[in-house]
Amino acid sequence: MTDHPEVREALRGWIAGHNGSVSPESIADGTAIVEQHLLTSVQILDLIVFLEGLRGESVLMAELKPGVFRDIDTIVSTFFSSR
Amino acid sequence: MISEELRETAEKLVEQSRQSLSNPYESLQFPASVPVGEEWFTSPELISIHGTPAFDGMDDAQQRKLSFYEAVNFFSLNIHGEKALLEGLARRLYDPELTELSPYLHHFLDEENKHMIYFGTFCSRYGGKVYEDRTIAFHRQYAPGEESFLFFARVLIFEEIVDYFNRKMARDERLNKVARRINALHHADEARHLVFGRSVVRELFVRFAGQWSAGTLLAVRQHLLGYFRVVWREYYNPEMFKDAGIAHPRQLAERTFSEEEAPRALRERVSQSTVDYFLKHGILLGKPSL
Repeated sequence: MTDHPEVREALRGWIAGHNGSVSPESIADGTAIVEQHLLTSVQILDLIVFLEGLRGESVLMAELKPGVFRDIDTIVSTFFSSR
Repeated sequence: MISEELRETAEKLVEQSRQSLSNPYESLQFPASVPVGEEWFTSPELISIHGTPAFDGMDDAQQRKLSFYEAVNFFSLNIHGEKALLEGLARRLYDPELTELSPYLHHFLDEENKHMIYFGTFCSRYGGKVYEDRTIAFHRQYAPGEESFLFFARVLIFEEIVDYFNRKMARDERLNKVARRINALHHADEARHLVFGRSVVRELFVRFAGQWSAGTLLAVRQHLLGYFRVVWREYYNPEMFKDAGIAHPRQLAERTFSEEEAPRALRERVSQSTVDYFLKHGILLGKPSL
């Protein structure tokens, strides 16, 4: 059982909605979001704002490490692990 | 090899830059402090939430206080934009494809570095901070010419939006003298940078777009459309609202960016000239969703 299932579903829906050519069901927790071009660099700021809304707290950019947007598993563990 | 037209443009700009050389430590005197909450630091009509119920519900002192933090945010955006610009320009100095532009790139670098001194001094001395950069870049493979084209096109979008604000605020007699002077000094150099930017963007597109696959061309256009949105989103900085003492800053930022009509109209008005230029030259086929 994975943690934060509601966050994962919201992320799947958001990514699919912004990509426009994939369905939420086709995005697994380990799907490489950036590598497979499901999202591009100019969509990441919108994603950060979406994540801030989900967790109710600002994201400190200085604390972000490379690869934090790699897949849903990494996003959830980075932004929601202690919640 | 660059075109004769671009080479001549760059030569003229080199001459103009040499005639406009300035010492950033003499061009502007920074007082020890500025009267936050008393003077305007951003023209009221250019404040991010102008024309919204949130702005209308503030008293005069609150609006003036917000205008200060809007200026700190605007100058912070300029610092981050120009840091990326300096990195990109430095990498392209003596690039074999652009070597004839190097004399002007030296001036471009020099002038942008001086601008950052103005912006950084204002933010650090009066705001006690530079707001953080919220953009992220991914490294990837590029088609021939794609990376340089996207670099100069992003610079053009960023600088043309910024320059709209600079031009308006350089003439606004209501503004605090230091804030007004920084806008004026920036605009004076940017006028040359924008001439160069439009020329080099058009030339790189003409030279390379025909070599790109349909998929690359589509991705380039989508990137530019998205970049307009990235630039604008940073004008609605929750930290700026928080520092101005506004409740629920993240919600205000998101609501203003996503729902409010007056800010959207401003974004479209400010972006119009750049969008029209891209449409005219086939760089974009449609307008960005702002």
